[in-house]
Amino acid sequence: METAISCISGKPIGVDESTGMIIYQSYHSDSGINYMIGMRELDDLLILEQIGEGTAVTFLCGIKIIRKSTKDLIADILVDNNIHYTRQTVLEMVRKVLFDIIVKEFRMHGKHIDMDYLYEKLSDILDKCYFEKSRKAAMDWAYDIGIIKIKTA
Amino acid sequence: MMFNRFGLSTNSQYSYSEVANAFIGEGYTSQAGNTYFNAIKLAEGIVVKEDIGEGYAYTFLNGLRVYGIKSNTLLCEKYYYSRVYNKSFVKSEVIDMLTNIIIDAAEKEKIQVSSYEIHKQLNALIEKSFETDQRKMLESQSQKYLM
Repeated sequence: METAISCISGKPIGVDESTGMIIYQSYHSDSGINYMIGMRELDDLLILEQIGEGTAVTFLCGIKIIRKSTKDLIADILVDNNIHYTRQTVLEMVRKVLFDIIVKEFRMHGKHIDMDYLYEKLSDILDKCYFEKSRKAAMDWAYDIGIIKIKTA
Repeated sequence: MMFNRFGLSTNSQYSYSEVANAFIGEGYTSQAGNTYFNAIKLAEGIVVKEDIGEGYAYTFLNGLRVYGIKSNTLLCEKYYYSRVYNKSFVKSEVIDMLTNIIIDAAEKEKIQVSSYEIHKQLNALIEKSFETDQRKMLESQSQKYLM
């Protein structure tokens, strides 16, 4: 938790090419694995991803979700060994945890929640958080090389 | 310089392999005897990074990542489990991944595009680029995007 908090108050040290994520801390182990903590912002939430990058492999080591305004730890997602990193894998884990937290909160207060709507809404905002930059870059590239004829805004 | 831009040479140095027509990174051999390394290929405006594992009898494709050179952005990635390495498979996967992200982006932007046409054009582009001497591709892409 301390690491997570110090990470969000520190300055980024770069962008990791394997994940497209802004990196705040990095440690190169004797075994040659480069461990990093990166962050993505989702409104008032910060998603911290801990990854280990070796030769020809990137592992997901853990995910923490923190509320930016209060610095409360919302979720600490433990990840099994040898889970290979993709943004989609992280998105699905984060979606499941946030979905469960919100549903639990609603039930505790005896309130009804439209599960389908919640799932769609979470999918949509997380998709934007993880893939919008890539989609924009792909469209610009496709336009530059003449694959599409309309330039996006 | 091109590889530094994506941080691709932080863990490894790359040298050109005529056999593979790709830039191959330094390998790491595990205790189990498998060797892991990256291979990099370029096409017009993009860099493709392959995660490769070489065992006793088979070579495996473990992952693919595609970067936009101009945008300096990870465009798409995919992880594979027990997928035997095959050059044609890599090509078709890169084409499919790029087709999918463009179609997805176009749908979200409400732009009408033909997936057949996009796939066809990407197929021609990737085929041509991957058949071109990658040293020439590196030179041309560096001149175009990094100068």
